[in-house]
Amino acid sequence: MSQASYAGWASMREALHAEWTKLRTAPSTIWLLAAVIALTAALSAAAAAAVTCPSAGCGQDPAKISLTGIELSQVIVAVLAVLVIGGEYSTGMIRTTLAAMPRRTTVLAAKAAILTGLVLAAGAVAVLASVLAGRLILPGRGFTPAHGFVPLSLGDGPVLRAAAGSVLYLVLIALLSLGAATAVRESAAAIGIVLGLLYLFPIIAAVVSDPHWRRHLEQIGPMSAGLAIQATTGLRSLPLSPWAGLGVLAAWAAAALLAGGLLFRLRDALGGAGPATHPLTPICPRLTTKWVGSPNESAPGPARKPAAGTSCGWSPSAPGPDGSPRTSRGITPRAPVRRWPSLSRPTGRYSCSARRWTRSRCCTTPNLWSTGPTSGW
Amino acid sequence: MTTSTLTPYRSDLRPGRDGFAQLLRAEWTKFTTVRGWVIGVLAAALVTVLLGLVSTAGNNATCNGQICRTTVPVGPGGEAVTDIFSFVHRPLDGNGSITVRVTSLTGGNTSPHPGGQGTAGLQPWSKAGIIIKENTRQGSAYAAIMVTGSHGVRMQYNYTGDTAGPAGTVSTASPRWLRLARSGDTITGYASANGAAWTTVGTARLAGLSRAVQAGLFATSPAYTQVTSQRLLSTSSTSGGTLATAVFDHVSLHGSWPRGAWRASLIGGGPNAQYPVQIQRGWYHQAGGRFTVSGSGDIAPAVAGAAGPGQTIERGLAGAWAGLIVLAVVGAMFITAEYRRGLIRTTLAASPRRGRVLAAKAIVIGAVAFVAGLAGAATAVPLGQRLLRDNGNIVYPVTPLTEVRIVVGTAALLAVAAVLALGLGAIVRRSAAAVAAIIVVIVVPYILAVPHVLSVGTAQWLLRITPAAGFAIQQSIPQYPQVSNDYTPSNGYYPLAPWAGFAVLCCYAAVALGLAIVLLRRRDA
Amino acid sequence: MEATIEVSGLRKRFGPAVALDGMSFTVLPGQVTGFVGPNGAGKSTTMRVILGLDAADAGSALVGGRPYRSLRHPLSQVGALLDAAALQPSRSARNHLLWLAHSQGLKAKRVDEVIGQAGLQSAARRRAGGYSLGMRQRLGIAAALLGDPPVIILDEPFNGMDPEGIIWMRGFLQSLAVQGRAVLVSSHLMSELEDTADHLVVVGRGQVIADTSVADMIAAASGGRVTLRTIARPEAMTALARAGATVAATGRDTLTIGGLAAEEIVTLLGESAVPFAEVSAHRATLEEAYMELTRDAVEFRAAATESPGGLSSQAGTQEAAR
Repeated sequence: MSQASYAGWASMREALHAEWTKLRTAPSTIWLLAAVIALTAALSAAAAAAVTCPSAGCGQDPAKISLTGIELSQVIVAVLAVLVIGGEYSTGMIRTTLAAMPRRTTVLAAKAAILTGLVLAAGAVAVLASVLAGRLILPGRGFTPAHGFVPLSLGDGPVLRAAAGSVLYLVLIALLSLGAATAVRESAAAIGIVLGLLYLFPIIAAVVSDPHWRRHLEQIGPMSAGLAIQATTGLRSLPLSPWAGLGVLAAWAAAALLAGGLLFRLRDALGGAGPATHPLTPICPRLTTKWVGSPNESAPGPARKPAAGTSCGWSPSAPGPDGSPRTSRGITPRAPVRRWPSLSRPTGRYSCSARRWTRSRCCTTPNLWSTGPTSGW
Repeated sequence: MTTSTLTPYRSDLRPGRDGFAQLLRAEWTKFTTVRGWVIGVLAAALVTVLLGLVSTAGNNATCNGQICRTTVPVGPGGEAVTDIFSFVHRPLDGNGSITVRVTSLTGGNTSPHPGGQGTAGLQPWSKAGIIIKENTRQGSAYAAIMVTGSHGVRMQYNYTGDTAGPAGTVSTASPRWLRLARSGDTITGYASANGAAWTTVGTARLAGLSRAVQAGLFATSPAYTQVTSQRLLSTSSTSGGTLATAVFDHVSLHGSWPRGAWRASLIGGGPNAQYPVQIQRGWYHQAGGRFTVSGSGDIAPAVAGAAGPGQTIERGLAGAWAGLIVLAVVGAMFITAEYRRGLIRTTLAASPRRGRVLAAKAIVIGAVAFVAGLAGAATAVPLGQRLLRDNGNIVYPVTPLTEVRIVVGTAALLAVAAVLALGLGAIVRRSAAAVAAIIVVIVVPYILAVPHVLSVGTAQWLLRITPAAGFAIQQSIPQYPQVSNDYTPSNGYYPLAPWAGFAVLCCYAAVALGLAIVLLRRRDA
Repeated sequence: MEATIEVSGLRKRFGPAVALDGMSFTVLPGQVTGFVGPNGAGKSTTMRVILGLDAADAGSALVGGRPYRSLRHPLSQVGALLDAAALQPSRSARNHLLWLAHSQGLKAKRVDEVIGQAGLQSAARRRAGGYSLGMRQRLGIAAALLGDPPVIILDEPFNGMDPEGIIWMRGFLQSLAVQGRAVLVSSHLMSELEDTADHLVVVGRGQVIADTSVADMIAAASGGRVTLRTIARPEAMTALARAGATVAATGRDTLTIGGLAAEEIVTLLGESAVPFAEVSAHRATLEEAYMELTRDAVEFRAAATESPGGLSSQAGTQEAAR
């Protein structure tokens, strides 16, 4: 593996580890995931107990009925996903996160990955519990073989598709919410947008009487399209086929993550809000310069390859009055705040120019609190 | 530095007035000085109008490829009515009575006319009997006594009145005798099983009934609807016209009936009929004293949904949901933003009477939401009506008072929902949880109240006890038991009366606010 | 009304942790009262209880003889700065002061007056989210002065101020005291309080440890010792030790001597022909006095560090908060 991609993979591994630690040590995560499981199972059981099939040909869909709980637990999954990033913005912790892991795409990808894993696990348990509840309750409500229904079992192809698709549905809802929250940066507004997006399409579709409009609205709405995956009967009357519906939801989630990711990369960490950072925090976290190389080298070179697309260079400072290269000991620092290291190192400037869309005012602002020239140690 | 105590400091500043009004002013300043919240409220009004217009634009009614230009008749009470039936009648001049015996009522298409479609059999509300009607114009006053498909004998008058009589179906073995007696403005209906013992079924007073009226036999049968698929909120159904055929004999007239013959008329129907495809051509056949009358249509109030051709005026308020979500977000943030920044300590130090602080916040956010909702609804309802009419839809007329109730009620609904969000936000102190909770308790019962998800009873019960009941304030057409229809919220029907539903929502908001005040007083800041 | 704060017997627990354990003191008008103590001693909790924000389990806190929650125009009686960052970022400073003024029935004119007093005229209409730490502190001061109250409570007002701001704050606090107001200031900057405060309330572990004037406290900590500067340290130490004094070497050429008056030391050294450069009465700094007083009350103590030229503190393990 080349050094750059190895460094990239190492930082992704570290980011994954950090995000996993963050999520597993937050008590709210445990509560929300438990609530997802409990509510899905409870609502599915309630729906199964409330429906009856009096005679053969009653046209009900037992798999869909026993997966009704997903419609409520998707709200909790959305709240969890929004809090994963919205909570960092509200407490100001996002600055610490980005100072520790400056590569923003990595941070967002790690959050998405850990969130996917957690929702997959909780969703699988929830869906299993719901299908089990349906299997136990529905035969007593008239869904007997005499009426043409077999007990729900995951060995049955359509039922397996409905169950697995429901778990994927929850994951996609989580990713959609994560993208929206990253774009908006406010938890309450993000939740409002996500839930509005989910619930408004069916409501408007119900009010419209033109069948074409209605069909199109149901085809593009994230919830109405995504829930098509749960249908095992009457597939021909659905607005679109099950997997196509899930694909529509995946497209929504991808668009949200793309928008959120772009805005995340391009914007300031907190948009100017919040308390000022400690003076010694680098102003441009993306361009953290690090001292590299051993002091024995006459001209230090970077031990870490610069990020792709940047060009970094070392320009030593002008030699001293006697012609010898300037070393750190001989220069009066601007703000004498700490002792100089015992090794004398050549001084100069090591700077990287980033890609074209970095705002130039960011790194050219003089850093009055630096302990020397704007280079690392 | 001084160490001795001087005379204590006396301020020259004249203290302002203390009172609730100052607190209101402070909270109002707090609200208007955050640009994001003001923009949010404006966006709520805007999105209410836009989404309402989008949803009304998707309603088109075409008649033979062109925009329909039908009008719906209006009954004596001002409501839109369906008045389509087969009428075999004679004029009645003054007081009198008419008695008949009905020996059969069947459904089906036994018409000798070509092109009739197959039907689904006798409908529960198929009707046949005798009727006294002011004239043959659609929407005129009437009183009728009839046998129905599965609701026994009924006396109905002026479209909305309905009284039950003896139950049971009619057949050759068990015929039914019916009598209508008119004296002045009062018409009384009687029924009997054998023609000798009569029971009074009901009395109708038709104010201002003219002296000369039309009276005779009628038959009619409403369209059937069959649900083909049920998805998240909407049900697709097919419907078609049905035909009911009744056989009358032993027709006897008493009173001042002018000499003449029976005439057969098809009330309603024709090229400008309300539902051009859902009635079939009725007919009648007389052989001696035996009349066979066949009819299609209905004599009932016109409803919105599968059983009716028109739209209600509150269709334009479909965007109120989006407005509600936005206002709930703003309401929750109004209080949780203070907790997040620690500003709540400043607020409570400035105004230590905590209950008043929360009350002032509730009044400010409620008033703002009310104004925004009023602007949105007052624009969406008339514009929506215009759009619907331009697209050829029939919009059921409502009294101006009802229209005002719908507009002001929607604004009040949005205001109370915003206050509920404020209360929830003050209780949980986290904005995401409060907003999610509000949306779940208001939107989800509405979405779940579809027959395929929960049984009808459970769904109705959910719509009675959750805050989603507040949307009942928007209902413009009441539910009529004598018309079978899909009475679900997506068609605009709620189980509670309008103001009762709104009161349920207000109770929730009051409880949430009260609990929030108690917690605020007891907790540390 | 009288400009005093009377706190007596306050007790409060947060779960198992005891925050206040019988806190009692009085803040009198006409002087700046410093409120000092280690982290976790209960300073911020006491201030919140005084302002009626937190409820104490026992005891009372009265402002001008009345509990805070019963005041009609609280900001006209007590002005407080608890947390400078407690601002809505999207609101401007002027609007923040405006709603505060409206809640007390004051006019916008008053808002502009206090903005001028705090020196925020140029930044008043910008959004508060972009303010530096110092500007936020000034805004908090302006909010505290809005109602022109006779009692002022400030929690760590020197935090984040640059040297110019500290000098301004020092003069400002003193002017408030001269006007006859009661000023309660909590701080960690001992050097600053030494110059600013007249009276000191030292707290630790939820209780008042000392309630004296600054002069008395320094005098008590100085303990009548004498500082001697001399190049011939060993000779001086021998001579003084023989005379029965306790001698401590506190620097390359400084000795701190206890048990002998300055005149006696001069006489003794003259007799022993030990040259010396300076003999002066040792004046402890407030920091030394404070450290001495609160040594047992510290909750969080870092591992020992060797500070150049100073007393090395005892090596101790991290003491967890009780």
